[in-house]
Amino acid sequence: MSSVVFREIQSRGKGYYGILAALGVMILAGLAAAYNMETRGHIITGMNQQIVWGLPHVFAVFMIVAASGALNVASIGSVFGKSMYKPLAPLSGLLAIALLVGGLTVLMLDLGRPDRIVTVAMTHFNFTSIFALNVFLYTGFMTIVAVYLWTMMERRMNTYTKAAGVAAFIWRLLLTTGTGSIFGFLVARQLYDSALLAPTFIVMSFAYGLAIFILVLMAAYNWTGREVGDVIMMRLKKLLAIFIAAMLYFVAVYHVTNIYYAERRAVEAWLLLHGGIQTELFWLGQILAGSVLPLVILFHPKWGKSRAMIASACGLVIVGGLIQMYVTIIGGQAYPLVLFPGMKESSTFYDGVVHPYYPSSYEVFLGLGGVAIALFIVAVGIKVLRFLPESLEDHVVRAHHGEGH
Amino acid sequence: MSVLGRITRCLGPRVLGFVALMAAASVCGANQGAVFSSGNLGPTILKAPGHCVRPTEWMRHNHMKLLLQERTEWVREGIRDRKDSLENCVKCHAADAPNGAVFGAKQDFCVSCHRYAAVKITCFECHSATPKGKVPAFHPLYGPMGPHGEGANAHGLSLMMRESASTGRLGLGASK
Amino acid sequence: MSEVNKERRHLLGAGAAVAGLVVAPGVFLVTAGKGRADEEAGESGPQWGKVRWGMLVDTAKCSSGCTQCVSACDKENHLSGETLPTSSQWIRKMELTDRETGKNYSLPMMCQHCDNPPCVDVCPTGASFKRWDGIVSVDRHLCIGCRYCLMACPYKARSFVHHPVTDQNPDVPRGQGCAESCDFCKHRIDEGQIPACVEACGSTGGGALLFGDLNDPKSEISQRVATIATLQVRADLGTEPAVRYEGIL
Repeated sequence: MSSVVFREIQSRGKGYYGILAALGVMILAGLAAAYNMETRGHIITGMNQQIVWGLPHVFAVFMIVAASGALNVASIGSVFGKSMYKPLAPLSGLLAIALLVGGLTVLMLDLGRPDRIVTVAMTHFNFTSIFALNVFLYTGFMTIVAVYLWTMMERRMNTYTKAAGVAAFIWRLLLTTGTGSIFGFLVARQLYDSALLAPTFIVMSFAYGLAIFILVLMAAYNWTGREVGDVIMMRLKKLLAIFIAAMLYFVAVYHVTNIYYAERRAVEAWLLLHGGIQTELFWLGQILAGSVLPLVILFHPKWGKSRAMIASACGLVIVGGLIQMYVTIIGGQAYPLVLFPGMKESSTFYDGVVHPYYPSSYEVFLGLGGVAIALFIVAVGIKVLRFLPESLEDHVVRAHHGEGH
Repeated sequence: MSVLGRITRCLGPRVLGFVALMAAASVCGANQGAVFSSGNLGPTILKAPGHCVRPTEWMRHNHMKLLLQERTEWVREGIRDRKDSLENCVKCHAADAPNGAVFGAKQDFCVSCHRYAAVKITCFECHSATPKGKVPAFHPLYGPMGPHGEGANAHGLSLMMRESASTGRLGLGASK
Repeated sequence: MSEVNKERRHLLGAGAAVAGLVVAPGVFLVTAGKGRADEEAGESGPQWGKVRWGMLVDTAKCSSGCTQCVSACDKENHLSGETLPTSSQWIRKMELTDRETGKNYSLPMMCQHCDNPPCVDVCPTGASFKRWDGIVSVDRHLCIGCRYCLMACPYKARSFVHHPVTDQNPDVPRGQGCAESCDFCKHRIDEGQIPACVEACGSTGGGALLFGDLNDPKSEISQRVATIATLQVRADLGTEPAVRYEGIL
């Protein structure tokens, strides 16, 4: 990396500290929401016995999935030897850790007994549970990525970067498999019970992570008066398009498979045709806004070259991703369990009816608080340590890229 | 003393917390048995009718371990013949309490000492702090003495409890 | 660890397993075959698989207006009896209508006390557990309130406590932030009684519930399930519930 100079961002202006302050307020709001949920109980949220996991899980799972995806850029650089991406690797690692911390914080603060995270959750493990395995996958990921960052940023350790990068790449595949399997292994629920969910989550993580990475990269460079050249931007944009297309493919296969099972036709008809808000979110949010539109933008001869349009495409992937998580998590629970196939069911416990969900402001604040934690970590990280290259202008990247040949 | 000092320095506030707690416990111990209110020094502890399942001094230091073991057998195996169950503790110690409970008001049995030692009690978020007022029945299968009576192994202790037990001894050493 | 287990381990450790069969038949037959030898040895208490509590629901005797089992459960376990979307319901009455034939059924649904309980598989801390006598319940001391068991249960049997609880039955501790469900009134079973719902159904309901030990071939429930056709709900999932339904096939 001799030709690329890394440097802390220099901003001392009101802008930077304004952002930090705003994020701080969001974090405090999130903590206040969590405190209320713990003392007064989940009764103050929109979650109930039917919609067991709500908006906090939408945010948390999205961030955890995106975290492993944010590491892509580093992996492409050090695992697959595309040296052009190497200057971006440290930011990629920082973003991965930050998103995971943000997501996990939300997940843990949503527990019914968050006071038992250390005394019980970290001391008692049932290894048939994906959750228990995930405790190790998540902490392991943070450790490995931290080591990976160290090998990148400490010149004497550079020789180990590739090894650390390979380890981090393998680990992130395991991690997302674990996250997808949280749902994939739930045999009782028709929209979950599928081994396809693990690879689908991996592809989703590629897309979300890269979209977030591109946006953060553009923001960090624009606000600090540095340049990102066209060469690197066109590369990243093409890669994002490929990931989105792959995501669409997996979603299509998943639903077509379900439709082929007669037993699941009713639930698929509900989700795809007459599921009200869930159907609208699926088609307009997940498919149209989250996948089709970004693809059109990125492949469009004109729009595809505009920075503003590329940024919008990234924004759409992120919004679409959150909606995809909502449809996956909330939609999967909203359709009632089938206890007696072939029977119409009813009871005081809401058997046989589609369950509505109205998230409360506490859940929104907790979720956004987690996002703020992730952004706060990134903002502080790039200020105090040398995560960002001083320039990514074409001549710098090309010169560096040349080394790889 | 130097060894103790070194350990204290290494482990820091955590150990100091336990030392403080155990010092508090030994203040209680110094006045054991009687109902006492020694000015501003110690908590006022309500006396319960009858005899405890263990000596008072022992209970002050170890009741949590006893309850932990009992709870594991009670919940996980359904062994309900132990006299040293939380239900029995409540039954006896709430008997003469003004509000008929061990937890709730400042002077209640559990609260008075735990408040003094600044240790949070979470038991009564789920457990009833008032007794049911019936004689605990013995399981017809295993009878009153059963294979799990006195002297059963102290299995099932969590890491934290074991830690608190060992640092507890450390704390006692320091106060004498 | 019971004395018998300790002794068994010791014997096995000494490599005297075969000799042990001769010397101490009572000890070994506990696992080899439940029953007589065990009683002769005076051995009792928790032994895995010795007992498997189960329930048989006769849907023909269960009428759609009757909720005696539900009321009895609420009273015994100090549940509110409310049916808000956030309320805990350990047992509920389900009304079923066959989509093709139009035939109606009414039956109680509660924890099915599976032999392979998904709630136990997914619980990260081991709070959700199966007891030696087949009862599935929550060790609330270890529950962190993640609600994965609510997601995993095919019978919607688990509830999550959404608010602070006071006025618990001293025999049935329960509280905010933990998962909970029917535990066959294990506090009553441990004292030699039957679950509250079964008792209520027998006295003021239709007498539709039969409770007993599925592992005791002489018990009424064992003999009935051996002679009549019964249904395990979602048997296709392989959870092997201890609750069976008759009259609905």
